[in-house]
Amino acid sequence: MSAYLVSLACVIGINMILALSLNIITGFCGQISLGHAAFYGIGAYAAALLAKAGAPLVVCLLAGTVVAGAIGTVVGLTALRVRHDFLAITTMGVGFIFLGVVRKQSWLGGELGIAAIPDAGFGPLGYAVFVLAIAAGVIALSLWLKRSWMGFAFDTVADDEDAARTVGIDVASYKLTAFGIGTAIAGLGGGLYIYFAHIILPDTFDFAVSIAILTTVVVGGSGSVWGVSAAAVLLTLLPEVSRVINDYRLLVFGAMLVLVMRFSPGGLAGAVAHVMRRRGA
Amino acid sequence: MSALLEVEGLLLRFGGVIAADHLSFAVASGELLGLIGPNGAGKTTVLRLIAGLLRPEAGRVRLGGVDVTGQPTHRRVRRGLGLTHQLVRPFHSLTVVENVMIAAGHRHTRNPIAALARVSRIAERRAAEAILVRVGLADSAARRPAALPLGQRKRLELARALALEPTVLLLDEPMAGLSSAEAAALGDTILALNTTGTTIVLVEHNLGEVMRLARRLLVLDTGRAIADGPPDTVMRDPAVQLAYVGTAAG
Ligand SMILES: Nc1ncnc2c1ncn2[C@@H]1O[C@H](COP(=O)(O)OP(=O)(O)O)[C@@H](O)[C@H]1O
Ligand SMILES: [Mg+2]
Repeated sequence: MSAYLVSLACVIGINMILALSLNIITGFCGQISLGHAAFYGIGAYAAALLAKAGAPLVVCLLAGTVVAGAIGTVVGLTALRVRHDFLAITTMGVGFIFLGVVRKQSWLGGELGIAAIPDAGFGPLGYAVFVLAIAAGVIALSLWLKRSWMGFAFDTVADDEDAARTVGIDVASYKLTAFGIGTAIAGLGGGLYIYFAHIILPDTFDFAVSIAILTTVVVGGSGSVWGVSAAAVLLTLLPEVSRVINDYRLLVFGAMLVLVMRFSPGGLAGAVAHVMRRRGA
Repeated sequence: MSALLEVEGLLLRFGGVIAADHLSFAVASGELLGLIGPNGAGKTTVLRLIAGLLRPEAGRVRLGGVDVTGQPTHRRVRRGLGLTHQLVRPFHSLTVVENVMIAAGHRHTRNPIAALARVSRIAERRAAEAILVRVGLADSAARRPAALPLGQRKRLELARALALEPTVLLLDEPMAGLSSAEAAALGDTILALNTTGTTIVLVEHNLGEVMRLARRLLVLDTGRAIADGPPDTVMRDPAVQLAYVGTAAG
């Protein structure tokens, strides 16, 4: 396999992990987030600092996961106070605060980020396989979560919070759980990214990335594990095949987001289900 | 014997409107209380205060002797409170049977992490199906709530509350929109529930059914209890007649 394809496989795996992690918060639990890249970034910075200090890969990945999940749970506390459009603004703000802080802190490398991150030691192909295996693990976890009673309760929280309370659901702790799990997995994605890129810059985790992750979830079909996974592959390949799309990424992804929400709210998964139903009928 | 449900001095105002005016009453275990009064009297407000969906400005709510005034709704539900909404609120993303299953599995949803460990829904599906049979919705189990006529959505609301196995059940106009035959059938279901030990507070405009089911009536008007006692006595009370005639005329 060419080096290009191997690195593309890595990026697909990481993007899939990011999209599936947001899918738990937005797709399963119904809580919008426009700042998901911040948790990707928090995981990456936490892992990178430790990796530079000589910590082994497993420790770095775990640290990225835990730190992102812990901060994500705290941010989730704000989700308990606000709903819908306010939550969108709040999470967007979290994304900008993250960038603002990272850019100004010299111990985080400021604008120059953190470079010369050590290698994982698996070789490029080995590392791509490792990333894809973890992505497969996240798919499996998502499928399990959706089938479990946690997923069942998430359905009711996403649907009608007051009605959920009247069937005994502790809406607040379910929302916090969704934020905790979703942001922790995004942090894991960040940890995986550092051993792929060997350098991280604040821009790697900017608003455009948050929008790209959300677009992937919406295009795939919010809540559909297979739809979101497929969209992660498609939307990673799209900028690769077209330079124009790559140059106008925020514009293209933003337009896709709006168009899908307007014309096919179920995304890819919804469209496929629709076709299957018509075939069956 | 102490009361199973007790409210004391409940006060809630919406702007200039007093929806609950220092309201106090108690419901003993096993009672079937009819809570009636003209439109806007504050019946829905009282039920929502008891359930914790509204917070009182003053007053207390006790359930089984425990002060639950500061507790959120889901805690009160887990203490044995069941509630149906006057304006039905099914989960539209779930099927009819799933709406009941999520309530039937209330033991599995207490803690999110424990909920993650469990996937089987077989027992809860069976329990939910049995409840749907009881309220006459068995044929609609696989449908979406939005596809049901109002009368059936009302029964779904009841089925979902029943699945919680409540010790106290608050019903907010469960018969509105039902034909008289449907209302009578639902009345029988409510009576059977009460006979098997469920304490019930029934808010209902169908006075014929309320008179048939309840052994005690509490009449509200402008947030205050104006009469309380056996149905016949209460209905002969001049204050009650005035409250009803007053709204009929105005
Ligand atoms: N959310 C609200 N905002 C403002 N006023 C309300 C609200 N809910 C109820 N009210 C008012 O409180 C009074 C009691 O309402 P309600 O409890 O719904 O009466 P009932 O159920 O007996 O018909 C009415 O005057 C109603 O207009
Ligand atoms: Mg009412």
